[in-house]
Amino acid sequence: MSKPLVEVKGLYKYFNTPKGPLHAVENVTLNINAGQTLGIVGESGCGKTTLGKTIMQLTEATKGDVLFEGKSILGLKGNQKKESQKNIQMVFQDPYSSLNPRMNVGAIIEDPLVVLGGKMSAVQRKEQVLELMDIVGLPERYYNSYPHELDGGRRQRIGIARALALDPKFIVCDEPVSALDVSIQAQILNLLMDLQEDKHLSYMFITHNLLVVRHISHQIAVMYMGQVVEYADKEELFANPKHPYTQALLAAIPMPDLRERQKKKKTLKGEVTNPINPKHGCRFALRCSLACDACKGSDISLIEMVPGHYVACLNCS
Amino acid sequence: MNKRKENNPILDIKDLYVSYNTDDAVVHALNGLCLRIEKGEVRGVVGETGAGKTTMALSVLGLLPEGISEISGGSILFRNQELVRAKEKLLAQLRGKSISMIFQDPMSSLNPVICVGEQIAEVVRLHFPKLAKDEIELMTDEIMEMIGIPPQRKSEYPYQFSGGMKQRIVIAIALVCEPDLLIADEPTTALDVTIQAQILELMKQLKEKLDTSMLFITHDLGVVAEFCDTVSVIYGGEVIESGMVEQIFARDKNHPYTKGLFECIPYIDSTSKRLTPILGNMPDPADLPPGCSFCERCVHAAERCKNEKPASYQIGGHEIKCFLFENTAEVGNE
Repeated sequence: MSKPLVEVKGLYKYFNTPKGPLHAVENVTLNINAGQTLGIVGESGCGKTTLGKTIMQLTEATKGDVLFEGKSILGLKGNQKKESQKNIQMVFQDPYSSLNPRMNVGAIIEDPLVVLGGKMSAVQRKEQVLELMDIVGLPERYYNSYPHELDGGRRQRIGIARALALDPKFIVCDEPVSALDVSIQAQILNLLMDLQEDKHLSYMFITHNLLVVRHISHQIAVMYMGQVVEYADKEELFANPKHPYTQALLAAIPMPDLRERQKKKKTLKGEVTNPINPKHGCRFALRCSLACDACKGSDISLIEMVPGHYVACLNCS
Repeated sequence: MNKRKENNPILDIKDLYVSYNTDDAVVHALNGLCLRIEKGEVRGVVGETGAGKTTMALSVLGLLPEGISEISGGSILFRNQELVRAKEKLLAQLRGKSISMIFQDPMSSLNPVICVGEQIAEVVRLHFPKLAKDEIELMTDEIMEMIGIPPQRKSEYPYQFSGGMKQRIVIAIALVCEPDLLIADEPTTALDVTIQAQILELMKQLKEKLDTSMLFITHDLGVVAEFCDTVSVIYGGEVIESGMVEQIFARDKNHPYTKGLFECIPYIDSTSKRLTPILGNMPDPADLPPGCSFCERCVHAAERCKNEKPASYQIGGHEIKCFLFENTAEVGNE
């Protein structure tokens, strides 16, 4: 097997709060292969976005490492850092607040080229911006428009064009479709998948929508309170979810299908507990039907149950 | 014939037209919207952003923004009582007691500086001014018990609760006077899936206990399939399709828009690589086409669709506003 494009190794991110360290990301180890998509699923506050931002170096990691093409990219300085950032870009969740309202569409997409594009003339840059607009399906007439003149779907296309400007190999997509209506959501998902095929891009696709993640991902990691609790190929994960949290998450999706209507659902009791200074042991134990004393004792790490299928649970088999 | 039709509907909206007058245009938010709810029925209302779902809810409660909005036609009958242009006094009596509303965002629909018990008690005190203090307290405790929050927490403030808990409190406020009609505007959209499942389960139980009729506004067809008895699909300010959930989700006869909505959802058991999005965008409600409002995005659109509004064609109680069903419809049902 070829080497993965991005390797996340034992990554930690703690935030200091007056009440103690908030464990946002804890001991996350993941691989993303070239040309593939890793989906990160979890509920709000589980550390999905922080994980994305830490990989993007938008916040500094507390511990651990991120390797891109085998080289560490954390802690780089100056030109080396700039060089590594060209390969990794991000599409943000909210197409309303992630675009500067005082810049027009052309300037927004051009910005990465100005900052990191090297020696390019204004004419070359404009040419490239128009090409990018074409790729993401934005008509040329929007070149001088401002974000507020466009709807959510088109704005998200601007965000994608901006992320593509430097021809990156890896894009972190942080809930790129959750602010959009379903009919527009489908357009953007198709666009992302087409781009992946054309440009051999790798994605880390962060979302809370399990139907979307199933559609777009090759591998999926399920996060709960900063930790990865299950990690597998998507077919394997949806066919044989092992961790009780993954099972509950899958059961909770409202399905647009009446056959599901009759089934009595098991709803998960309780809510996510406080991530500040959490106790040792399984974070999910308080809501888990399988929990025993051993779960509360020591930290539980991912175990490879079936080849390629990692689960952090003592009691599932 | 549909058995329900013979009953007296609890809410009957007929041909409702609402517009907003802005500085540069008149925005036609509702264009002849018809919708009825029988006693004990849960009607799902599905549509995308800007379709007019929330405007409809606000018109029922008489909460449309003053000055810029105008109900230019139609009627809203609640238990045979006209609500369009009704006196503020009547509406104030109904709101919270006979008709309640749950808003989309639990974070912003509670008052941050009043403790939650008081926010529940306020509704009771307003509608039953003669009740003694301890009776009100008892009602507050009971409803908190019912929504699964220990009454000991009633002196806490909204910020001390999580999103799901806050939405439970909003539900308690809406249900404490046991209303006949509950309007829920995307009550679970801001919540995580596992919490959404909890809230839906809770609403199901409360509905059975109190026999409340519900107008359930959402954009999630999955939630509709799980929770509602009947569905109305709104597009461009009118109901373009309505029927029993079984009829809509059978997916053999649907309005092209509804069909498009279904095809946009990635299914858990499907392996197809591409989704089929609906082309284009919603029409600008300030500039609606004269014919079918969906015609510009519709793959079946003919010349006629651009100029002529389709009537509502009925097939066994299932109504579809599309010329495609003109010939299959039952005679004399327009």
